[in-house]
Amino acid sequence: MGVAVADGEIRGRGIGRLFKIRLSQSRSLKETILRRDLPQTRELWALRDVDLDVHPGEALGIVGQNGSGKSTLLKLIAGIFAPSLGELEVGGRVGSLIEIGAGFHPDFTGVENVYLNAAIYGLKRRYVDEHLDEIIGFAELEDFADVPVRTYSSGMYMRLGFSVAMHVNPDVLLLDEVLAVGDEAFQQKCFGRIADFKRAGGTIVFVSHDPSAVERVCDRAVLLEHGRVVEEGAAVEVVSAYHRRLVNRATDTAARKDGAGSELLRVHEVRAIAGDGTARDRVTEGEPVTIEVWLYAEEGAEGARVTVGFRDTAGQPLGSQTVEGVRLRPARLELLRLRFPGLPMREGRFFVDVIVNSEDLDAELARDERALELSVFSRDSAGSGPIRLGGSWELP
Amino acid sequence: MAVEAVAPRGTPLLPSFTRLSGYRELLWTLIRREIRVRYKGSALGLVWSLVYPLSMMLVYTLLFSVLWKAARNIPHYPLFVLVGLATWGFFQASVQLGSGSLLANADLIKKVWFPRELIPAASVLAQTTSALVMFAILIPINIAFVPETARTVPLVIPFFAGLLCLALGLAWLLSVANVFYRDVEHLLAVIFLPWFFLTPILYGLDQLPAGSAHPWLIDILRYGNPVTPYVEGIRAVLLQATVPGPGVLLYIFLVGPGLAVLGLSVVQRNEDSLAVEL
Ligand SMILES: Nc1ncnc2c1ncn2[C@@H]1O[C@H](COP(=O)(O)OP(=O)(O)OP(=O)(O)O)[C@@H](O)[C@H]1O
Ligand SMILES: [Mg+2]
Repeated sequence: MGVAVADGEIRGRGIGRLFKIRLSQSRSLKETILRRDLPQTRELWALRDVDLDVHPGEALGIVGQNGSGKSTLLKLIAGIFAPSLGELEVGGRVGSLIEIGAGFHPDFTGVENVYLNAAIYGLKRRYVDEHLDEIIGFAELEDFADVPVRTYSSGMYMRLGFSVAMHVNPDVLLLDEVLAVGDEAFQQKCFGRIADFKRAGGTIVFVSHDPSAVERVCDRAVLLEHGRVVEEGAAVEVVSAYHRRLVNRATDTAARKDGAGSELLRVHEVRAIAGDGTARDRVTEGEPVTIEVWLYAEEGAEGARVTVGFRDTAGQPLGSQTVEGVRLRPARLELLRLRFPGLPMREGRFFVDVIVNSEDLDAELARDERALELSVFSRDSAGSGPIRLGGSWELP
Repeated sequence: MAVEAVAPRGTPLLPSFTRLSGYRELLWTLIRREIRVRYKGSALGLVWSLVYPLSMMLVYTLLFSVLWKAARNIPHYPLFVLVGLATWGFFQASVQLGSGSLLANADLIKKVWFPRELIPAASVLAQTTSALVMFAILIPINIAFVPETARTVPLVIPFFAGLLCLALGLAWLLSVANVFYRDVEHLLAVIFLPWFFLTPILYGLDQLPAGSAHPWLIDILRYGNPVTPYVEGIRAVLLQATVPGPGVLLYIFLVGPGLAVLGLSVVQRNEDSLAVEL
């Protein structure tokens, strides 16, 4: 055992987790005795050499492809699995949320399940008595509190589970793909609650396939690949790295399949990064916005012209911005940023097109229309329409 | 690289009881859930669980006492059978339901950590409700028919506690086995029928006509079957106003608790494999 960890601290050294997967399907005693063959097993390291340091009040994101070991890592932190190798210490109470609504009984009502769920998380009945209205209220399920949960939609299920879990007041909160089924409004509420939790000094480990959610919730992130940590750092960076790896893998296989040079240049991704550094599809009027354009040129390009244009929902162009002389290195994902101190739009939904032309405008190298959809929200109701007209009034 | 060892935490041979502190509330909640699911939340459900042993008692009395006259040397045969059925019924239901309980709650075990032993324990403890009601009805009737039993009746509490330990131990062991081999539950259902007939519920081991000719066979039946000493002990203090001999007493207080300790440590030691296999 190493040095004791503080509440809310997670420290792991050289964590490995081995699974022995039984290949023969036999899980019956009868067959095992009758056939008398030793079960064939395959070994699989779901995690390998993972070092982990999360401090109280910090939020760590874990990203990676399916099967990369994210859930396994959360289960190790929750104490559901034990590490096969290495040391892992977790301080304080862990509010495991490996999956939402664990232990709900379908025939029980919402309220009964709150009590059941709370007991599983180790809450006292008295505490639940006092907070019941709050828990049901947060989930906005007042009208369904006395209905069996088997009649709930998956989103309602998730609301109730999240609401209970947030009332456990754990030192460490583990979130695995939990916000995926909630609607927009409830997600916003959850993010608010998560932020409060963090501010109060709680530790979060967050697993999600939604990059903007990871960037929004987490300060730091790690990228897992086949159970190993391959990137570690600021959440935005790690998410970008994850994307880069995905593309490189995809283009690797594509190139092998079609032969090189079939597609010379393409727009891989377009994102809007808001003032707070998160990727978003909604911003407020006047907020600083950076449009990120990820380009991939198989053989590279010299002096390309890259245009970013905005249109309204009717397809009417509103304006565009072009940059010349862009150099793209071959077979690399390159990032271009177009910064706006504040978009000139007031309110509405807008589409972003990205067009790449050759230096002499002879050839269009790539075109990605509606690469991004961006909503702008106004701060006030003094104006109307898509642009901020501005101007100042002089009254009689 | 360090040595590769798949060793779950805390693997002492003896189970840990300290880790259970703070989970009393959860145990209660799980028991309540079990009762609610089993009796569908109605008092009628509980009554229903009493109807079965009562009707079986009537059938057995009609067959063995009235028609066949095989039980003629057993006094108060209906009560004799009923005490046996109540005891056996509790044992069978709790072991049967307990052994399937971990698998039935796979969802919970894979997602949240809490002491896993609570699940089979709740399953077994929930079964005590109908047994307690049954005994509460039986005891005054027995005292009415055999007044001397008033003296020995209090002993039913430690004896039943011993049986409870036996059921807990078996439920813990079998529930873990059932996760690795999914047919354990079904095999058990098959085993329970012959087991029932080998346990002196409908007859007494001492009243068997050919018993004195094969004393060793009677000993095997008595001590080879862990339930028998409990059935005989409970029946002795509840109906016959006698206290069993030291052999049976020792058995009652050693085997049940011993098996419970073993079962508990098996659940705790397999905690990691349970989450992996489920
Ligand atoms: N109980 C188990 N028994 C055997 N192998 C397992 C078990 N749980 C996970 N694994 C293996 O461990 C690896 C990592 O699984 P894990 O669930 O951690 O992936 P993940 O990153 O959460 O994936 P996803 O994005 O799909 O949720 C997988 O190859 C999986 O097959
Ligand atoms: Mg997962």
